[in-house]
Amino acid sequence: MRPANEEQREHQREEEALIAAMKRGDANAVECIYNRYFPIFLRVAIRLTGDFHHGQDVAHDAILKVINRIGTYKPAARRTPRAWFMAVLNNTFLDWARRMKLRRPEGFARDDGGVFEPPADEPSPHDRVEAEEKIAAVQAAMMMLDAEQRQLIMLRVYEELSLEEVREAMALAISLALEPQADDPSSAYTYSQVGGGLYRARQRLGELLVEKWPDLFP
Amino acid sequence: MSVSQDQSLQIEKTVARVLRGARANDTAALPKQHTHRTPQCLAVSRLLALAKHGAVRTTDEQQHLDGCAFCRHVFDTFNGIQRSPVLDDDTTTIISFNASEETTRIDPPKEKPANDTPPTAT
Repeated sequence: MRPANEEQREHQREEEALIAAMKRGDANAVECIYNRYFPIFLRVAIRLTGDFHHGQDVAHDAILKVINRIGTYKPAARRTPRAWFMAVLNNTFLDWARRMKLRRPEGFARDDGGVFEPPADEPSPHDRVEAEEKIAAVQAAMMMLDAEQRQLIMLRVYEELSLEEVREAMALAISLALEPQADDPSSAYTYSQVGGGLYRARQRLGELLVEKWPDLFP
Repeated sequence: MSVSQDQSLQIEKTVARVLRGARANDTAALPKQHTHRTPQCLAVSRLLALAKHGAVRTTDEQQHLDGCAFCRHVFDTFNGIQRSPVLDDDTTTIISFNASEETTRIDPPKEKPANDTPPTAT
């Protein structure tokens, strides 16, 4: 079995090749990126927005932006296509969050996040119910975090991006909002911001879970 | 509310496990395509070619574009026209969540009332 990082590097090379092909106008590469990233964007966006339909709209707009802006993608040392794609998704989510805030004076957070069936494998009915309840509680608590904390948790814990990818994705999302051509986001979001932000997000999430669902998180 | 360091670490591990489980569920349960996209819809690459690269559309393509909100949205996005998302996004709240067609949804578990909450008089 190949080590995970070797597999990741191969995946990265494949995506770099697809991006190069897209820049040359290769229609198959466009379809390939759309089909590969729409499902990923969809699952992350639904968790970020807490809503299937809004998540679907955010995911779809983000993947169209990726295709539309592929010409601005510039490979850089330690930058992965995945981090850039996630930056576009982050940026689209932030736009959505701003719109929702404008529409709802109390903000966009919901306390009844949508969740999905637990895996249909081995757990007993009791474990299954508890797993469902825990997923629901974590999703509900996530919706009480602010947008940035939610993004950090989703990228690092849910999607399991590396710290470097999280930093790139957060930094590039800021750059995209300011200047679509920006290619050096190194100063926009630092490692200490990622570390500090993640620490605070996890802390807050833990507090919320213990406070509101003490039976599930004793 | 303050949480001890041990408790915090334990919760962090649980949250990581829960979120990874949720990701596996989501990957299996969610649609692979936009739910408004039909087999008749034009390929995204074709819509890109029509909108940005000046490809000439056929009569069938034009007819489909005229009647399909999904393809029209993709085409307009590539064309730089700002429009609402595929679904009409002109809502004032996000309370109208109904994903029952695509997923099974359960409500979050009830919050446990604090011990010092006085019983409500009936």
